[in-house]
Amino acid sequence: MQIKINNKIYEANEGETILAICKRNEIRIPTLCVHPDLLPSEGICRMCLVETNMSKCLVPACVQKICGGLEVFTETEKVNKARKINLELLWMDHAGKCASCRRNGRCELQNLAEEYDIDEFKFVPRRKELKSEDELDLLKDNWSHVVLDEKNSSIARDSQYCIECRRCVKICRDMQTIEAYGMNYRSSKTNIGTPYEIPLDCIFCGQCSVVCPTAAITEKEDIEKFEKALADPKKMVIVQTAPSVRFTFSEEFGMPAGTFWEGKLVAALKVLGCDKVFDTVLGADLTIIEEAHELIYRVKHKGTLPMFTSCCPSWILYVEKYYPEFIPNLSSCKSPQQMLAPLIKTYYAEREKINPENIVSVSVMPCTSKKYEAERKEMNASGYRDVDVVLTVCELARLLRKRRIDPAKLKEKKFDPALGISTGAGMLFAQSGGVMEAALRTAVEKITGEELGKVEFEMVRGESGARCAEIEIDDLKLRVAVVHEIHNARDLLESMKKGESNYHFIEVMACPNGCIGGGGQPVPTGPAVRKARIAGVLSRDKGMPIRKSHENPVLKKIYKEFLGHPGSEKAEELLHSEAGQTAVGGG
Amino acid sequence: MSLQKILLQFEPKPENLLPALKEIQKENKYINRENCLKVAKYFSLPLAQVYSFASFFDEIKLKKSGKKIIKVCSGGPCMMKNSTEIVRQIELLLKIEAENDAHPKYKLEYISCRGLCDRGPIVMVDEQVFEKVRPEMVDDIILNYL
Repeated sequence: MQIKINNKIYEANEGETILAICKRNEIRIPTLCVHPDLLPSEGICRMCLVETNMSKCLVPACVQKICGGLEVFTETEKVNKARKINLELLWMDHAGKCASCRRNGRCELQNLAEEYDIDEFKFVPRRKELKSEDELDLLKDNWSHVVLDEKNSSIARDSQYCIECRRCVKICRDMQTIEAYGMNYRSSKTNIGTPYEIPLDCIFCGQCSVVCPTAAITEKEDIEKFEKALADPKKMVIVQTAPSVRFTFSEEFGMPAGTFWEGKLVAALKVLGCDKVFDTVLGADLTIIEEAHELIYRVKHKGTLPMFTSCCPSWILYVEKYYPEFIPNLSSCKSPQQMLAPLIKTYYAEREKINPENIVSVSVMPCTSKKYEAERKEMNASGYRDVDVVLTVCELARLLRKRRIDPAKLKEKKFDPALGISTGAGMLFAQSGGVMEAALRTAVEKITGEELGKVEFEMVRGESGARCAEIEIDDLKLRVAVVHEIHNARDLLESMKKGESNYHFIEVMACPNGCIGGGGQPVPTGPAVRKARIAGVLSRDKGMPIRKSHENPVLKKIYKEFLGHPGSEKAEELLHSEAGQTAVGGG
Repeated sequence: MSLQKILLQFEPKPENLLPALKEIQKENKYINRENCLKVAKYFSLPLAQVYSFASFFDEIKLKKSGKKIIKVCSGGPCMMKNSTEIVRQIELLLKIEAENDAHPKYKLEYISCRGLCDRGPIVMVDEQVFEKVRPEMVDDIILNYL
């Protein structure tokens, strides 16, 4: 089928929407509610209105299906006028406090307002311009439904910024199946929120904050705590950065997705005044060694199988809240963040003769859920709070911009070598399938006792939501599965309940494509952006001199000097969560 | 009647949600969080969905309120027949403000169309409906029924 858009002919398939064709042919149509992770669209924001020859009134391009002989005009005067009025009405409902806003410069509404030259106070007068009392009522009515939610450790909501696009409702419902949000009340009182305005009770994956076009949902800000620690001369600020941060951090400073910025990240942190910068990839390597050890033990001694990975705190929380019967299946290993942190406050502090009380342990994470994880009560293996402050990528970038530091201009620096040597296997943690691949590299060598010829396990790579593979190791057939996004995980759990699937080892990540698509990553994202990020991760793994976790020289030293061997008493104490606690595992 | 008994009268199908909520409200005056959770469980729907559905309807109360509620229709036809003047009269008489929760005993609310447009303006005191209300009738209604 062929249709005409702006007097040019384009190929189209039956059943496609006008917007899909325009997107494919790079014809710009502004939208605020359509998101590549949330298809099909429901036509809510009315920004994508276009004129056609088939109807008198304007139609929303995101839901209007095409038909033969259709002619579309995307930039007529009528269209632009309608879009502008819609935008002005949306702006009226929006706080519009751009200078102090967390999304300043990254806000989709702000960008459109700039493009369409919006008069901010067309419908609502400024406080000083009020002409009568009626107008004051109008103003009051406008702000009557402000819900501020800061009662959890991960996600902040402020409905004054909300434009009711419903992306958060949809992603929570369709991708994560939690349904924490709903559209409450109606017409001018419509308000996105939780039932009975209870504090947010979900898995804190932060996908809602990623898709939010404005700053209505953001991560809970911990910049203040970090700045306070930096300013305190008595405190030693030790930072660890997650594997995926180095691949996405650059996007905040205008680089294309997937640009590798490890050196600049370290340099920027040093300029901020951090005393030591360590690499969470080392924690990831440690996780792999412990997890592979646990897997081999469970397989050999007929332990609870399948074993679930426990790197993703949202996933742990999901199992605890919705499928408690599967808690024994979770690996007892902590997540890389929570493995490296106690090492900093014990091993490193002992070695350097620092009082752990004076260490402020900060981690830069791609994830909102890590904030919650750091506050879990069992995360104090070192005798202190293991991680004191968790920053997301967005927060770190915001702080750097605030301080007028441009990492692009800084000279690259290396991680501090004490806990900063990493391997390709640990680097793979950034994406879905990475934990599995890294664990296999170690487990296969441990079981067979021979060196692995080809370290890539391509069968667990890819972008589909659920992947499975069977790996032959000597006489053992290891069945593994890799799942990301909670709706896929739920399907798997349901099929396990029915006894339809039997795996040995299952990796689950709550966010799309793993940490690369995490809740604290730069916006905007979509499948294409995440694909570019994954390509960056894989090429980096290829270029690493050491690609297997158990060959990490620093770890070998730590095991020799401090921990003993994988699964030793000390390792059990620091790196695993005690069984029997309500909070087993701990991402 | 217990909540379970009320729920068992309805098949757990989405179309029965509104009747069930109405029935529960008759018994309990409003729908609290625990009851809402039980309803959600019975209909196998997420709590957020049930709440957003229930909050859509003015009829269904989700907050406890021991107040007398006076409702005035704010639909177009009633507005045309001067329902705003009626609201003003009630405000003056009871010294309250429409849509304001401040008064300990009374609350004045706007409601959307009841489908009684030919007999407007409509005023409701709790479940009692008054039709063709004129501003001078307000005193009578309020004093007799409160």
